[in-house]
Amino acid sequence: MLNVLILTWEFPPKVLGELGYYVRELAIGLRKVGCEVQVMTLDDYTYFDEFMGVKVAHIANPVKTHFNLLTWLSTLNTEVERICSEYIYNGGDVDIINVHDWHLIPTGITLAKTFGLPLVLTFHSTEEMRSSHDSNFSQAIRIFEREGIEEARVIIATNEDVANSIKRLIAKDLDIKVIAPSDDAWISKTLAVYMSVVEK
Amino acid sequence: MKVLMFTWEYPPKVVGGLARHVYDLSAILAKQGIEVIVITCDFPNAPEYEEKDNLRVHRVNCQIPADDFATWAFSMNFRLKKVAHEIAKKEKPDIIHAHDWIVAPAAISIKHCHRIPLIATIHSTEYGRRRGIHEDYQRMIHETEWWLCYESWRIICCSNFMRNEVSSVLGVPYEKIDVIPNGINVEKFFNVNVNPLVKQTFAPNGEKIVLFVGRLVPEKGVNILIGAAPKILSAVPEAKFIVVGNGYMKDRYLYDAHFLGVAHKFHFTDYIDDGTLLQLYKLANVAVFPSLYEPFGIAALEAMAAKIPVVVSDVGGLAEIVDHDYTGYKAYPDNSDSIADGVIKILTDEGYANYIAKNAFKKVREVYNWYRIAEETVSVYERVLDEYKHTDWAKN
Repeated sequence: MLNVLILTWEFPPKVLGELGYYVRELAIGLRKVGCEVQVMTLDDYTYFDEFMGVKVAHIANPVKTHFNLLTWLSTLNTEVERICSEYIYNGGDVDIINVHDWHLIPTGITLAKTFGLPLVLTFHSTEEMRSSHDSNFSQAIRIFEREGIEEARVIIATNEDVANSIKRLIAKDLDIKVIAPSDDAWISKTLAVYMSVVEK
Repeated sequence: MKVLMFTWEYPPKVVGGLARHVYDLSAILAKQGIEVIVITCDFPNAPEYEEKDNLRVHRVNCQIPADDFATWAFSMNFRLKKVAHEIAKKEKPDIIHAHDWIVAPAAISIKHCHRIPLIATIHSTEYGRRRGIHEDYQRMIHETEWWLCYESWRIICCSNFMRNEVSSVLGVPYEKIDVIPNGINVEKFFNVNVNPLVKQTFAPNGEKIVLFVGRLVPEKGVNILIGAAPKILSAVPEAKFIVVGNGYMKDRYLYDAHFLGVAHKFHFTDYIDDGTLLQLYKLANVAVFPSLYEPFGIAALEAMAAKIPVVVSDVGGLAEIVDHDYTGYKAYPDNSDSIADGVIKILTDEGYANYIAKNAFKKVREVYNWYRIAEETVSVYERVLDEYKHTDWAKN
């Protein structure tokens, strides 16, 4: 069965919004249908554990002091890349990478480029939806979203609004699958998207 | 041997001494048969890709909107990284060589994803530049410097002073640090013809020129030279002070010069082109470097190569370059009186001036030349590669 590497900046116990719970449900669901699931997420210190068959690496930022999200993510992404490549070099199988929201998109791009792995991006919201003003900060985030979209094989949006927002972000014909976590067939539809990418 | 070189500035993008250092180092390594791939930021009108013999330069689009320098610096690493991963995968370099904290996230990422040993040159530290860590902005840079050192196989510093500083401030084992002094090309100081117009501009009445070259920032200590001016002028009235460089302290220094009544003897030139600077070196009678913090002191070396006697303050790398009364005059740090004594001695005692200028030139030529630096750098590379062979990374 499929080996899935999930990258998310939120995962219980570190939860800021609903994203963390969605990703946990997805990981457990995928595990139940027989996938091997490895989650890479963040915490204040690095530790590795397992939750209902899902392996989780909680990764700490090597540079503790930061003064905004972008600088924080720069050093953090490198650390996540380190743990991911350790995982892969030590025999961890990965068939597909699924990045949730934009924070760990750089790691997704790095792994896709380095190990030739297919990248799936899941957007639960976009910067355009979260922030209406055009600060430098917000523009930088849109740049990362755009670069992730360019590298990704498939984009999953959790609803139509998100899908439309992604289309506004980049002038390109995109294959965006809309799969809502509230959908009863959420897991099987997501798996079908993974399989379509891997089989290609 | 193939080396992947990370630097945020590379000519024509020149901000400080880093650009020139990496430029000269890469060129000399390439000349010695090492393949060098430089990854750096873009610059208006500079080609995205350049190739010359063994040297290749990739200039990566780093246009990311940011409110401050550090945010930009950290964000542009995402761009560097993207290009570097493709290059690393295709070229399979043997060594990664990173210069300063600004490129740390990208260099460390390549290290782990491609399992290539990383070497870092630490040109200066945030702690030293700011004389301590006072706020979170600095602490972030300070910790990133620590992280780069932690992840590096070996560290290269340009002076023993920097070795001590990196070791004690960033908690790096002393044995992990190699000292390789910077170098300069002596040849460019030969056969410089002074344009009469330049002489007319800077010393129209045959004044004795006291030269300072450097950024106008507190750690370079121009205020100490200004403070020395009244004493120097009372002994040598024909002295004239030429301050080359720019910086945010300029207005303050102009005020200082006016306050001491010596402004008419000071000429602040801003940045000047290399050609004019070489002519100024030819015209100058003494060069003064009154720094408070100086990891190396390349400007002093240039003055020595131009055969001008130098007065330096006894700090950091400057203290290691200059031997007192032999290759220069070493003044007490942060002490205008002492600087004045040195300048007066050189301006009034021609025999002494010639003696130290001659010795200094000899030292520059023998110790600070790029061939020796290339040799020592390669031996650090070789040592790391040799050690790397015995690790799990190499065996897999």
